[in-house]
Amino acid sequence: MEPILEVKHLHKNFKDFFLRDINFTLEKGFIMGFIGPNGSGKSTTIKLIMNLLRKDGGQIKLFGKDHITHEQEVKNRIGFVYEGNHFYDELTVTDMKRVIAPHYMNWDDPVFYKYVERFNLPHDKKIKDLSKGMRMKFSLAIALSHHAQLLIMDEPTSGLDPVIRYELLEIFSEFIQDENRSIFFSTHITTDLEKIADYITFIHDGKILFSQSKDDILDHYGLVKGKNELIDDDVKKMFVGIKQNRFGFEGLVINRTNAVKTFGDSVVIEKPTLEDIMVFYTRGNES
Amino acid sequence: MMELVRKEFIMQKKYLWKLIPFLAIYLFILGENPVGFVMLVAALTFIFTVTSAAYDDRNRTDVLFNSLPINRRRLVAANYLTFLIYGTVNVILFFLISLILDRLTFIPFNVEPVSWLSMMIAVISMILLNSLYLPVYFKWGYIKSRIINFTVFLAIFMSGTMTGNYLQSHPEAVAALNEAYLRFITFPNSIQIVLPLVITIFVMYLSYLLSVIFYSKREF
Repeated sequence: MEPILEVKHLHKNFKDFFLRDINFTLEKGFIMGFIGPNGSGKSTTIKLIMNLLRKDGGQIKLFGKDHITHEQEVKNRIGFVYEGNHFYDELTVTDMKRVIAPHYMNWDDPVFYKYVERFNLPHDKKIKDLSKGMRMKFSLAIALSHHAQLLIMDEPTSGLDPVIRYELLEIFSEFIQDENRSIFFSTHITTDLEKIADYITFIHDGKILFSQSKDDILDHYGLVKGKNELIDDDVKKMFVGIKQNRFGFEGLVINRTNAVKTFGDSVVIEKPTLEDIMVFYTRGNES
Repeated sequence: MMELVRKEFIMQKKYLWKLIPFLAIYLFILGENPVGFVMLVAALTFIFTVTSAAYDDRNRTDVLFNSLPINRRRLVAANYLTFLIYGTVNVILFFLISLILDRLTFIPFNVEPVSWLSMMIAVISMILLNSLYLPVYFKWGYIKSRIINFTVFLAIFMSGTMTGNYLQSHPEAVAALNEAYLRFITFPNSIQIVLPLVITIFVMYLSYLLSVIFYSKREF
């Protein structure tokens, strides 16, 4: 079975930023969270997948097909949600739907109005008068109303209150009930991913640091806490990142079992959160 | 394609409703005059195009439309089709309103219906103006296109004055132009009408090709 999204050796050069050799694969039926600090290349990667930016090298396949050669076909099967407004703010919810709907081969009006009702979206309200949460829900209603098989979202939950975020995560979980569908979404909010993601792809400074199943990551990585005396230059090499202060150290290791072997009972080893992993990878070693 | 054209009309429907009273008042107050008609049709269509570009820029809808299953060539073509349709609507409305005003007996003066020649000049001006603008817009986006537009119009205005000055001091050039004009009007009527139209359509086609090249290279 071919992957729903496959990115191979993707390159993009800007004046002051490079996306280098990006590789990851998303199979049908899974949710992949795309994390990384600001400016690490998340939005750029998403824009390259959507052909909003032109790649300088590599290959992107959606549903097993090249994303440019079969652009119209694959875009008919993608629902997208971006951060910020890209709708005409002077138009009403219904008018904006009328502008978008005819472009999708499988647009389904009853499905759209089902979501409008579920989200309590006011039909006749202008986009500019909708709250940020409402706009995001409208965006999602559009993305879900043409029987898309892949949802691509850039920071869909950012800036939303926990209640709306929870509601959106519920929708994502429902969407994925059909095993032919997948979700790829970037986010800063790693707790959202801990709730729903199956895979995590971590990008930093234009490079993919890992792309693995969430359970593997959380089972293998370890957050080690102990006294400073245990740390020397050789030991430091074990850590992805380490933080030291006068009370002791805290560091992230990729292999928890190895850490247990090395340190025994002299340290405390905990399961890290995705946020811990992101912070240690990003900040590296600092005292 | 028509969905994209329809989108422009949905966007600007509040202006469209004002168009009929505006044209009626214009004709009622100023009466029909060929120059006014030509300029009005060209200007209204151009304003429609630029307003549409402004809406797209303000709402960053290029990102939206380029994420939908629409190819960029169609997005470009829709802009050309839109101004052609809108320009035609303007010409027809102007023509109909002038016709109606002309028939209204309680108006104390006559409004001459728009002539075929004025219509042709209006259509040509409208096409040329938009064909000049759109490649600039597709290459540099709305904000920069405004600056470039301003510069181009200033240049046209200045070159008009400079040409006037030049002609004043060079009577032989005036004679040559007169001769060319006289030769042109000796052509059969069909050529007098068809030739400018063919040239205009050719310019529009070139403009479209340039726009497609520029827009397909744009990144959002």
